[in-house]
Amino acid sequence: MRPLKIKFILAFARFYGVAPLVRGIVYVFSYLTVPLAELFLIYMITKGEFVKFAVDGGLITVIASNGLAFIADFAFLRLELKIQDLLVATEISAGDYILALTFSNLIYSSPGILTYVALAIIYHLLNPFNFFPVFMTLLILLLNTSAIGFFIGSLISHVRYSWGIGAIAGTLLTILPPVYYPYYLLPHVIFELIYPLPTTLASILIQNFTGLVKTSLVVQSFTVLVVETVVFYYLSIRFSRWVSK
Amino acid sequence: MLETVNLTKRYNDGTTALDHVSFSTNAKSISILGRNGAGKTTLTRILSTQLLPTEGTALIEGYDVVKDAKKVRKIIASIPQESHPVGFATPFEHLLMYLTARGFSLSEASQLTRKTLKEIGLWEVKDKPSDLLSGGMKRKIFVAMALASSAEVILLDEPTVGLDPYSRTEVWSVLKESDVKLVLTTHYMEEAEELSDEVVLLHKGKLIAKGSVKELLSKFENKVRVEGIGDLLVGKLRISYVDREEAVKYLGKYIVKPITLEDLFIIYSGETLED
Repeated sequence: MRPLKIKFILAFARFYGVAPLVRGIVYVFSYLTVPLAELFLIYMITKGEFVKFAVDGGLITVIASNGLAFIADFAFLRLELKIQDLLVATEISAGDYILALTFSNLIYSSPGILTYVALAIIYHLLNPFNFFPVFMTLLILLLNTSAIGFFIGSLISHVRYSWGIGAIAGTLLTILPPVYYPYYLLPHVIFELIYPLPTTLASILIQNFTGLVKTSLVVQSFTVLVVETVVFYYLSIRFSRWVSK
Repeated sequence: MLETVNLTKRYNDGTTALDHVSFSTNAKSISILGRNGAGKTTLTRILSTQLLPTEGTALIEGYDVVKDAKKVRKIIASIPQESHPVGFATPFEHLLMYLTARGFSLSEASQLTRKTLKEIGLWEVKDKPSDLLSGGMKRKIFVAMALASSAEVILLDEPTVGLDPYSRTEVWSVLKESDVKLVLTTHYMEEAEELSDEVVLLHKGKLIAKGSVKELLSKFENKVRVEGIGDLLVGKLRISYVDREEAVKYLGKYIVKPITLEDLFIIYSGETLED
């Protein structure tokens, strides 16, 4: 296995993660608007009863949106700016590029992540004992959704499609699944259908780790999430358009 | 240095962008010329390992661009046509990112970035978000990336589009001073004359002429261009090429000009169009 281009990943993170964070702060808030709006709505509708689910859900949404933002990012960098072509003709591989963008977006969305981590601590959802499993689940979710984002983004033929597809993917993966509410509220058939979605799996795990639900699906969900991530990552590198055909 | 054998590219929509193009050259710098849709960018992208050919082979410094793509990528730097900088990132950040992608350490990349930005006239704006730069300066960022790369061969697709004459001359001077081998596509005939030892003329995906500017011009050394008469129609302008001795007949009535590389382009592509 070839070594990762750590220097490149760091320089790319400065280029595409730190630069927008310090010079385009308005975009940073875009990561926060949907989860904060959901938090407000859920607080109002449930009179505060489900607010902890909304905080867990916000954390999952910020991370998943990060990965799904790749759909637009990859399409934009490939089709409009031609940055992908520029990098194809270097020593960088598709895997380096995905990780560089993942890291960049992680930096870029760090205010959103920190906000939700703070909320999770305030609401006693996050503590030293569950920090590691929650962190690992979110990290795997990030890699998973990044791979999905890269795969879809690399196949888009015109950048104008990327915004719409990104928005649809965002809704399908962060609003409909039991991200902001407990999974057991779903009818069994629907739950079976959406169970394999990475956000459903991550949600079951995090709601369990933070003490909101008790479930026997932890090991199974974690295994499926890891396997899915490996498969999506492989597919994204194997079948996405890095070199044009 | 550069060789193509029956290089062909057919896209999924049936368009043949390159049609069995074969040539080889040892020239230090070559320009690929052709009208829009001639296949220049397709050829450059294949040579840059960004696009797979349908048939045929292409070699750069003896390495096959498909089979030895990794080796090719170590020795080339390629700047795509219509590449644009990321708006919120600065010229400095662009070069640093690109040089680390080419394998330089962060400190080496940083040093090379400083040196090149000074050379190419971007030092004053090195920390400005590229959104705030002029079109010419944005283009220069990419030329700077290629020049800083220490690549053996630089492929530049339309490197000076959008640059004012001063900036263009600035870029040319830097390119001419460098020891690097150049492959560039351009619409500017003066750019090709200024920077290239050889030119390759493409028309509708086919190679129609190749040679040094001097060689190609020598075939027409006794000719002059007369504007206003003739069968060759470029837009609404009628052009003919006549022997120098006959030129006197047209003086005063029509515009008579010496042959330039632009005329070669018109003659070759025009003849093919007539076919």
